[in-house]
Amino acid sequence: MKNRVRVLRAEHNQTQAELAATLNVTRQTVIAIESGKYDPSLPLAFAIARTFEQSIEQIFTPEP
Amino acid sequence: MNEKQMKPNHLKRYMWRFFSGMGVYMILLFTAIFFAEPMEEGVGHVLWGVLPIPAILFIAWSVIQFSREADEFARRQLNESLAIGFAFGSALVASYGVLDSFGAPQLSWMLAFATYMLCWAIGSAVVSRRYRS
Repeated sequence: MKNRVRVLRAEHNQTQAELAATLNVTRQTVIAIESGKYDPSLPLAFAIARTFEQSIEQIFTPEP
Repeated sequence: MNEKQMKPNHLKRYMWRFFSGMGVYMILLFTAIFFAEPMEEGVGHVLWGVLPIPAILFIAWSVIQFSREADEFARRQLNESLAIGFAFGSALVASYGVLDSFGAPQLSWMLAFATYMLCWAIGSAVVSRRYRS
């Protein structure tokens, strides 16, 4: 699954550590999500969407 | 997301618990061997063997606690490494069990524990490599 977390985080001037603290996960989790190596659970995806005030579909798109 | 499960430094805490448990286990094991070896076979001899068991239980508890406290990505990595360790550890132990029943030399049960731990360590390395960014 592709995602725009890295772009959105940069737009919000947040570091990975700050986003991790907001989401209550470790920085390693944010790194893994941004690099596309880990697809977050639905509750975490909702938390990310809420943080960036976007819908899940605007952030996460399935790989073709 | 369960906020109770998301505690900072869970990995450091787990590593501290796990490796201190392993250290205590080794100390208790060698203490038990040291004192039990000169004794004759019997109840007293077996009781020395009980000495390292609390450390083994503590190690098991530390893994379960980590699984409960870690965030979802760390839990995923733990589950995958445990799956690899369990699958290959079981394959090795079961295979030797078959060989044993066909006449291969009998080995210590302690080697089964060491085999599982080694396979788990290999599984952790594989998983760590897979998710490396």
